Amino acid sequence: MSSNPLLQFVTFSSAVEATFWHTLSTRKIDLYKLDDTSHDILGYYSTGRTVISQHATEANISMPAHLCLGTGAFDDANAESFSRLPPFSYPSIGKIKNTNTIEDFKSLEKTSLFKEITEQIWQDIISGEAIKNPCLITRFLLVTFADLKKYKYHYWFGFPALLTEPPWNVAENGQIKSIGDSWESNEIESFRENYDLFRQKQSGANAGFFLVRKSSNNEVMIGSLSEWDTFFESCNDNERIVGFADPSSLPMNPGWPLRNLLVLLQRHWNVHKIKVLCYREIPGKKDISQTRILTVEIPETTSISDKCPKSVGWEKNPQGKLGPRSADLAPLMDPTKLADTSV
Amino acid sequence: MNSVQTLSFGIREYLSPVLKNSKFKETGCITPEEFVAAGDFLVYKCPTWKWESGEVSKRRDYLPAEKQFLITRNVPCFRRVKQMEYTEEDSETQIETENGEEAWVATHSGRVVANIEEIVQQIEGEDEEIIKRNSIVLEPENDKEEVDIPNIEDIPDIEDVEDGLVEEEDPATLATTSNVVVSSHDDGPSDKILQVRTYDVFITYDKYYQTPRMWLYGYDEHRRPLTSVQIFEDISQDYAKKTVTIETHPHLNMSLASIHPCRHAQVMKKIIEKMNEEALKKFELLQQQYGNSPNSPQAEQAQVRVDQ
Repeated sequence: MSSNPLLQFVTFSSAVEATFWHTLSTRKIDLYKLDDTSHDILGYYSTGRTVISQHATEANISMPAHLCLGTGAFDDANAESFSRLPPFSYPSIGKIKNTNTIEDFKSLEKTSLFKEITEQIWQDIISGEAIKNPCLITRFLLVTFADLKKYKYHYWFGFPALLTEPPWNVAENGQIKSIGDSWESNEIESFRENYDLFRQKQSGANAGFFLVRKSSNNEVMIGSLSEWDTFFESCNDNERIVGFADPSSLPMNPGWPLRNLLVLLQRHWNVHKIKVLCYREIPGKKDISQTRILTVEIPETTSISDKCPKSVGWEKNPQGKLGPRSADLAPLMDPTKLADTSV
Repeated sequence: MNSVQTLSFGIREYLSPVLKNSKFKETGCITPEEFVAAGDFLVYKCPTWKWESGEVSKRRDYLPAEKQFLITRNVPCFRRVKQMEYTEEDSETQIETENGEEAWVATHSGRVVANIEEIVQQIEGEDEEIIKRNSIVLEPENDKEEVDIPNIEDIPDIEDVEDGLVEEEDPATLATTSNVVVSSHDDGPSDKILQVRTYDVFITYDKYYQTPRMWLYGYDEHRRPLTSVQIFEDISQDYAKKTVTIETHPHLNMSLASIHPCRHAQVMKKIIEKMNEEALKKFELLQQQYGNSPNSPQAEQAQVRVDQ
């Protein structure tokens, strides 16, 4: 087991649409005014995507694992607003803390806010709420300061991931295979069709995390996390597969949501070794060939206490350091600057 | 290249079935109903596109409330101008040898040389292709500037905050540099995450010109919105501030780059004429070319379209 390499996860990269900043400004002026309490926001992510190079000499290009915020981010998180998210995306619920001044933004107790979200994720895992509503494990934090006069926005995302001690390994000497190398083509097709059906039936909240097993007639069945006991009843341990919509596009590294999912599995079903399906699709093309399959494990002796684990996941800024980012929308929102460019 | 873009979307509309009995064939203009129908067809064929309703206060009553405009988000833009020029030549040579024919001259202006395959590719919904081929690319120099010289105002802020926050060392987090993450594995060339520029692309209905209208909103590698200056640098100087201008989005409180629709109809009309003469022949060629390969969405779509 010691020879197994460590499983390394790809962090989320924030991707805020300009309309989000505009909506935030409007709400700040009309609704929140000087009230700087936190509000829920609704983000989304899609599965990872690699653009395969046409030339043998060029490297393939992988898109970052974007966590996006759009116009609908301030809608209540319910089935209706989930349905308004872009096609082929999965919801993620976050909390925004918008400060009134740049000084507040700087002096804000960010660590404790981050810890608060971590606690929330942990509580949802312990209570089992996250089994019914798995998107809760992708909760995130956004702290902002909107300089409304300059149309400038300072922001910092945190994507809490609960730490496991020791970390998960990739079993079977670190083998991570594409779905095409692991399954027969009829199995892949059956999985794709059944997953599509599953996704249509579930509200958006539950489609990002699911259970997979093969039936005796080569059909690949999909179930929701809450069906764990009945779904895997007739399965050996090594036939259980847990799947998630994977925002990562790197072949050897799954995305961030798997981290908290593994904690959930370990906590509720005492899972120490399991096969994971990292679902990656090319939207609208019925192509899931970039999906990866691996087996992860941690030592049997590892137990998980009731105490909330430590967490990591602050987004780094463009300089690669822990620090806030900023977006300058003046050129496209400031009326005086707009006058200069109009023809 | 913007004309190509215009063409490609125009052809999408043209090929959608409801347009048969409209005055579209005579003038190149479309009605709101036709816009909705064409949009539905686009969403059906290329499901990354989505209808949106936009700001309630800006809703147009001649369009259904939930179908005010179309959007596709996070369209990656991989290549820089120099690489793109190379690719452009590259693919064109290829096509000439394969088909043994001269590339297709698309518009009256003579500025743009496009071939049917390019257009089909665009219709087919390879959104990044659209961007790639439309010169909406920053010069690498600008790029560098953006990355290396952060806004001076920001520097003290960032450092101030940084002091207060330390994060646990975590071996399970894949190490990242600011721009590129490289994942090592044995087989083949290494894969890397490239922080690329992305675009949100909008199509609205322009009531005055009775045509669809294209809008582009760009973000740099770190998801900072591109400024209008940057956007104009991206657009061929033939079009910047002439065909392409910064204007207010009809359904959002936001200004962004738009391709002015005053010539859409004319261009569309030209296309229709060209299509009638050449489309069938070309599509057949395409079908032959791709007919035997199972993974040939182009051929599949061409077939669908020719049938219609």
